Amino acid sequence: MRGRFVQSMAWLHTWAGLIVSWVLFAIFLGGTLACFDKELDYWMRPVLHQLAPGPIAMDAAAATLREMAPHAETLYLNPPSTRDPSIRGFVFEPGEPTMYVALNPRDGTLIPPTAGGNFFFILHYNLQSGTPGVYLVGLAGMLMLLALVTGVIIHRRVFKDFFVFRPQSGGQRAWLDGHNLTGVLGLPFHLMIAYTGVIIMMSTYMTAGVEIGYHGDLAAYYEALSGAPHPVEQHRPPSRVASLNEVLDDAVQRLGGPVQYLEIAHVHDASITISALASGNDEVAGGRRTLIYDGTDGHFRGESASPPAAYRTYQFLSGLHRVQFGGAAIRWLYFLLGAAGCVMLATAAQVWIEKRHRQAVAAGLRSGYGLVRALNVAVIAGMPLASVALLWANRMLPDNLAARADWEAQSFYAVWLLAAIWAVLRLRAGKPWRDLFGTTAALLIALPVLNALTEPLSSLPASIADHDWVLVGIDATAFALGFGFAWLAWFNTRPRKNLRRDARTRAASASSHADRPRERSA
Amino acid sequence: MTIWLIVLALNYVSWALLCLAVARHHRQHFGAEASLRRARLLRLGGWLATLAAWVIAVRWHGWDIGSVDWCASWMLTAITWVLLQPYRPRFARWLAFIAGAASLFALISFSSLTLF
Repeated sequence: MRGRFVQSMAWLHTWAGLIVSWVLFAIFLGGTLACFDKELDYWMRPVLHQLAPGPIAMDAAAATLREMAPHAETLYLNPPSTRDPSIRGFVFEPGEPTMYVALNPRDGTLIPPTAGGNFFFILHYNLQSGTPGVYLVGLAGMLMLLALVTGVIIHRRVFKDFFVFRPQSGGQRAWLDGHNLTGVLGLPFHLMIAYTGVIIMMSTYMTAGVEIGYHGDLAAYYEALSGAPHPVEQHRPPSRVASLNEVLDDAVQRLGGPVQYLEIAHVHDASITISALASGNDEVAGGRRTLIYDGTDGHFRGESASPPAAYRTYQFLSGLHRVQFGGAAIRWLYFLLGAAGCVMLATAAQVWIEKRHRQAVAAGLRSGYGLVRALNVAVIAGMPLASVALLWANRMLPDNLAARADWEAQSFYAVWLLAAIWAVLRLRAGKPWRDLFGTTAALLIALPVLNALTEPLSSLPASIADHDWVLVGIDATAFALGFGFAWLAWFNTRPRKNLRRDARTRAASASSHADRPRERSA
Repeated sequence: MTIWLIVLALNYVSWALLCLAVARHHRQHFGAEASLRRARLLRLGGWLATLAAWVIAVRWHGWDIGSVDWCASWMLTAITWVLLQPYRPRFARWLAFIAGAASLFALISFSSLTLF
């Protein structure tokens, strides 16, 4: 009975895992890079690197936003933070797509847009394809949860093999050990990240609650969540508009800490209201205090009620996922655990193909096996290359190019497409893994050089001299990762051990498997 | 930053001890299985090390962020220890020794200053 159950779980693990593994890999790599989205944004906006010290131009920034979106209903302005010296502006205008820009904190002017680290963040939650993408990511997340649970069920030696890693044994054994190592030891992280990831977008694909409780009115639902009553519109323009700089100063003083954002609601109405949310990065769930100001004269009206417990729970779960708390040290831990998740997915894909090695060779490349192998190279080796290409495009594209941010994004897609084509073409005779990993390594190692050539003031030595550790961190990490990818390329240059060993292993398999129970893992 | 490193170091020590408490891995490292007493001590030491790491992390950053930090660093140090096993087992052991000594030293010098 148990045997059949485990077998069916193994089947589920294999196939539920395989069909989403490539999408999941893209989501995981995007999310891993998005741990440092603001830092990458900063790196990709050299105009911010040489800021003179001075006051924060919140009012000038708001004026720029009003000019760009004359009919905006709500503006959000994030004042500079320790992670990002720019002012971030979000604009909600009825019937228009949400606008998201970075503004110069000294004069409030628009900073030329870049795809930025934000590109990876959007890729992470909707694959850059809007609401359908959110659904696909949600589905992938649910299947990942399924794969994690079934993975534990079919791995019968979780504790016995807890510390076991045998890379020298080659072939499927080594890949499976690698998969188990990153999967089992990182399991709490993977479970947490998959579960909270699904929860974050809950109201998008589980609409029953909003349908019943709010008769499908999403706006009413969000208003109830916010805890602050919406100001009643008065249908006449405001007599004057309060200074955001003064409101910000007052809010920082009252909160005794930094402000996450200022929200300006009813921009063109006499009911204009400014709210200031505490940054709250000393709590997993984020800021809970919101101060409310009159938008015409800027007088302090009071503090909005703390979010209700249910919503606070949601904020905790989403905060756990989005890791905006605790500073760079914890973001590094998430980054490394995310990388472990990428390895878990990459090794899983290898296990699948190694386990079916004989059938795959017999069936040739024009088969499902060939498709899996091509997708493995195209996604697992292709996406890192495309990601580095995005950073290169940021430094290589001419400054005065129209729609430069779009060009950066297009370079990402173009390089990924080329990598995929290369993977397919070289699968038969060449070593596409080596080619793509090698190119990625070269681009990563050369990134600090490119940076020094195109932005001499932001070069690695200059940033060290300026104590600009964010810039130093990105150049140094790219350089170090380059050696990691060089190792991967070298690893894929060696002759395939298991090909030669195959006959021998099969002959000896009876004896070599004698000392352990039959392997059931997929 | 120092506290973050101490948490990492103690968690790494914890995995080293817990791993060496397993008969099979003790044999790989020292050529013979540990006596029952020794294995028990190793296991106890392992759990105590990570408990200490958790207490320090929570004192540093509050129960919520501290626990997240502790758990993340616990997973990463496990992966680090296991990854080193087939390639550099002796280095892995020495690293645990140095990590343990350094964090003890840091804790003793801190405890007279600000931390506790």
